Amino acid sequence: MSVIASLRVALVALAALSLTACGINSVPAAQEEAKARWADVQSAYQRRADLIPNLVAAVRGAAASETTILTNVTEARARATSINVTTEDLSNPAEFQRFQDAQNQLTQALGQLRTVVENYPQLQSQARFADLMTALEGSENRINTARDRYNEAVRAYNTEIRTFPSIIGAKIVHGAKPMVPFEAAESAQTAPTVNLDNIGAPAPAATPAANDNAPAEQQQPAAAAN
Amino acid sequence: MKAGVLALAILLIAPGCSAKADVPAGSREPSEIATSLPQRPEGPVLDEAHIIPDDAEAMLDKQLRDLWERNHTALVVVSVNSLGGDTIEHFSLQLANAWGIGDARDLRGLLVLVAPNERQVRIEVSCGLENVITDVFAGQVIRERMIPRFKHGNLSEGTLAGVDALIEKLDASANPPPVSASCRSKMKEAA
Repeated sequence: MSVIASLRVALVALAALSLTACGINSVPAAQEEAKARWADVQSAYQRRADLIPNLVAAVRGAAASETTILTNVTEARARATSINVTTEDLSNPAEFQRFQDAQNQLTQALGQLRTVVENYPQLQSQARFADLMTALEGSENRINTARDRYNEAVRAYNTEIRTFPSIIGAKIVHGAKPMVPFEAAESAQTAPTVNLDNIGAPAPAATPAANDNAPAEQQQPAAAAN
Repeated sequence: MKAGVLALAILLIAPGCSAKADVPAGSREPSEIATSLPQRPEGPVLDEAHIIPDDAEAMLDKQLRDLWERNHTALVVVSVNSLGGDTIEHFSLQLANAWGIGDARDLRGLLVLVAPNERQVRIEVSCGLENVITDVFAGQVIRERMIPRFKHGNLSEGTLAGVDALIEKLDASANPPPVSASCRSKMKEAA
C-alpha cells in the first residue's frame, strides 16, 4: 500500500509542476497570433478602401447620372475608414460591431454599384475599368480570407483562455479577456465569378487571385494533446 | 484511491498546456470545412477533367519543371470535374493550401485551376508572388488569354496560353518588389 501512496504523491507533485507553466506562455502567444491576424484584416480592408476613389471616378465618367449610388459608396467608405479599431477594442463587442457594421455597409454599397454598372456596356468594355473591378474582387477575397483566419485565431485564443489548465494563467497572470470574432460573411460578400455562359456578351470581370496562400500547416493547427 | 485517480487525470490533462490549443471541429464555420480535394499529383499537372491532350500535357509538364529549375516558382495546373458545390475561390485556396504549392521559405506558388463543368477558372497566387502576379495581371491573363479561347471551346489552348503568359511574366521579373509584412512573417515561420 505504501508503494501506491508514494506513487500518488509523486503523481500529484508532477502534476503540480507541470501546471506551473500553464497559460503563462500559451495565452499571450495565442493573443499575439490573433492580433497579427487582425492586422491582416485591417490591411485587406484598407486595400479595398484605397481602390474606391478610382473606381468611383471611372464610373462617374461613364455613368454620371448614377449620383445616388456613387454618393452612397463614397459616404460608406468615409464612415468605414473613420473607424479605427485598436487591438484593445478587439475585446470590446460594441466597438467591434461598429467597425463590422460600417464595413458591411460599404460592402453593400459596392454590391449595388456592381449591379448598376451592368447597365453600362461601354464601361464594362474599358480595360481600365475591368482592372479596377478585378482589383476590387481581389481585395474582397483577401478580406474574406483575412476574416476567416482572424476568426480562427480568435477562437483558438478564446478556447485557450477558458480551458483548464491555461485558464489559471489567463485569469491570474494575464487578466485575459475574450476577443470578438466576425459574424459569418453576408451573401453580398461573395464575389461574382467568371461565367463562361455569357458568350457574345462583354467578358465578365475575371476572378482574381487571392495572394495569400499559406503552407498547409498554417491552415491547420497542430492537433492538440488534450 | 480517489485522489490517485484525480492526480492521474490532472497529469493526463496537464501536457495540454504546452500544446497549441486546437479549435474544436464542432465550432468551425461551414466555409472552413474542407471540401473533398483531389490528391496531390506526382508532377505539376493534374488533368482530372481531361482538357489537355496527352502530348501537350507532357510538354506542359516539362515546361513547368523547367520553370521550377530556372525560376524557383512552383506553377501547378489543375482541371477538376467538379468543385463539389464550392465556390472556385474557396476551392482553389483550399487546394493550394492543402498541397502546399511552392517552397514554404519563399512562397512562390501558383495554381491555375480550370473547372470546365462549372465553367470557371482561377489563378491562385501565393503571397511570395503577390507583387509579380498581381490581382490585376492575373485578371488580365484570364480575361485576355484564357477566356477568349475557352469561349471557342479550346480549353487546352486557353489553359496553355494562360500558363505561357504567367511564365513570361515570371521570367521578366528578375527583381520582384518586396512582399508584404504578413507574407514575410509566414516565410519566417517556415524557415
